[in-house]
Amino acid sequence: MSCLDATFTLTPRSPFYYSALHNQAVLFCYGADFSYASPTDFSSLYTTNRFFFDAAFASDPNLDYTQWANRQKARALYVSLDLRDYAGAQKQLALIFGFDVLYPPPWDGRVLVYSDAGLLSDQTLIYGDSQFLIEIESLDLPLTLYFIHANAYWFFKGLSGYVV
Amino acid sequence: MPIIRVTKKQIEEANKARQAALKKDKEFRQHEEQRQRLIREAAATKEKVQPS
Repeated sequence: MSCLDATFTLTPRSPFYYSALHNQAVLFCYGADFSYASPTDFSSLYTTNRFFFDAAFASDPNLDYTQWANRQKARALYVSLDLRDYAGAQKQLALIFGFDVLYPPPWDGRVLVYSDAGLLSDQTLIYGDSQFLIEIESLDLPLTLYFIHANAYWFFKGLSGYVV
Repeated sequence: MPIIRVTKKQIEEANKARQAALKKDKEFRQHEEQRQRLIREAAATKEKVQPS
């Protein structure tokens, strides 16, 4: 069995994929946390190449994060995707969101996945799980996704994109 | 594994909403211009940004 290589992988220490103007993917982090001891101290997070999100700074899940006024105050990851070079080939994108949750239930993580038009998913991050999949049907247009930190204590590990 | 599906229609709506928000909200527009500037600069110095 052979595994498909990712077209790109974005991580805290490698947030930038750029092949051409319309073949790029970029990760932005607008607010993450760290503490004084492993595994959430700054050095550990750097070594493990993860962002940490602390429950104390989780955003209100009842707000509308399509509104800039709300989004700008939220701990959030943004991903800008422009893969229009693949548009003519009828390709799609499978995006794997990698995470770890720090504590077992009831401390499930929670992330709100938004586009500029609205909420795409209210995703629970379960202790012991490590990823969820976002299937993007078309690469004809650029797309920005927003991942809003909305509960508990969790780590972001990275996003891998597979053009298929 | 949980799966979120983003349809072509949702992507079109997101682009429309984004254009409308950029037109309406000066702060958002400035933020996005800065983000695009960062991407352009990173593209120009790709070898420095992306560790080998």
